[in-house]
Amino acid sequence: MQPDAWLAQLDLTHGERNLLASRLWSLLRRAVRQYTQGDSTSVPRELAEALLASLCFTLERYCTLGGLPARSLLDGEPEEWLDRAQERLRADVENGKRLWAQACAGLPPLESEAMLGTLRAIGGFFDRYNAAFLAQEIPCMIDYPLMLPVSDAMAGIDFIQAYLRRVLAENRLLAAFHPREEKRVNSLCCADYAILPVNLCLPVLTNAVGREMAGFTPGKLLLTGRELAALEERLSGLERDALLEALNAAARKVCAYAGITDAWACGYVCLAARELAPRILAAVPEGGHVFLSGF
Amino acid sequence: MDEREKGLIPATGFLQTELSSQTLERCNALSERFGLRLALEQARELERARLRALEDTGRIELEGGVLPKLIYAFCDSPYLEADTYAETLEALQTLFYAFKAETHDALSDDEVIEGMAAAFHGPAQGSLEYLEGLSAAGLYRFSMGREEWDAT
Repeated sequence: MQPDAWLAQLDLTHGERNLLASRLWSLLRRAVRQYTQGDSTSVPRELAEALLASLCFTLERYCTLGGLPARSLLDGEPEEWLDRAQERLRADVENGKRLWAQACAGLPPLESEAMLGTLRAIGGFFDRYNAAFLAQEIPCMIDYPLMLPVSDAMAGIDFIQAYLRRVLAENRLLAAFHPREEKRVNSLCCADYAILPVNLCLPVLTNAVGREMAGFTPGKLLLTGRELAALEERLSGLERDALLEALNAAARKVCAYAGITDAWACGYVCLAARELAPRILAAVPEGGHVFLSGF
Repeated sequence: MDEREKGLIPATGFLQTELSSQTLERCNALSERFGLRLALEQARELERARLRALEDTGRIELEGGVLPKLIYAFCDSPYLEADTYAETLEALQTLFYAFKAETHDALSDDEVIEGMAAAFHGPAQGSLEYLEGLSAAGLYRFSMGREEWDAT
């Protein structure tokens, strides 16, 4: 969120807002001095705006993560607030590095240039990330798409942490199925899945959930033509709420099969499964296919 | 007040501190030895010119200002005269911010001033037009102490 917008939506009186603004200005003066190492009393407007955005981002996340009201920032010395907020940011950067290492160690057996390239780029992020002055920036290219994208409202290390948590959950799911079946399902979805920036997990989740809803053997992914027909017949005529419930229940079973016990990761997988509902409601009654048959 | 002026970093110099009377007196104490002095109204006009220069070059200055450094660097110049002192300082100040923008902050404030002074007292022989025509590369060479007569 832009600093002006952030300041405007805070639950503060007009006087408190002005006081916070003056504290931010004093922090900005210090940031300019530090950023230029005292070599310049003036900076380009864009740089000043970026430095201010970094200050607001750092302070806002500290308050949000700590459950503190913004009014807290009016007490004490602004420099001490910023020091504590930056210490929290640095700790989260270290946590981000751990998530990244886990993601690199848990790569699925499926090839994906986009996933490899993105993880490599995130490694570079930790070298380039300027937590002290430009904490809101994301200095890396994220090409590999997730089942559910991270909100654009997230910034800096928060975006990277959120992205990596999703990658870890997806790759955990991918680790549960046979690579041959996953390759087949992904090839049916996109022949060049290894080269193009496409998500590997969604086709796997789609068919895994479909098989669960139809009561078929867990662990397999491919559907025969007969199995597909049976599944689609079961789904046709289902009202939206009933379909969502069925998708959610099936996703929970898939998580249990995959050994995904973490509540957040399971919730993510279930949410991704529920997102299939609009496609199913639109396609199945018209004879279209959402689930993939390899036969 | 337009919408930009209401923001945390407004378009105008709301945030930008003025030359204090103490700083003005210190500057005058330095320049008076050379017969040069700024009246309060001239200092205010220089402040307004500073804000215009910052606006024109898309820059923000949150504390101080470069005027004291400019006065220190140029007050002993044989090319400065009492009746055009304020005008010359205004031109130098405007040029300073232009050079900061043109060099993309590759040079520190001191390096820009050193380059301007070297050119002004060298081949420019006090000509502000010469300084106005100086390229960023030329200023850089002067700041490095590499005077070149064809630096433009």
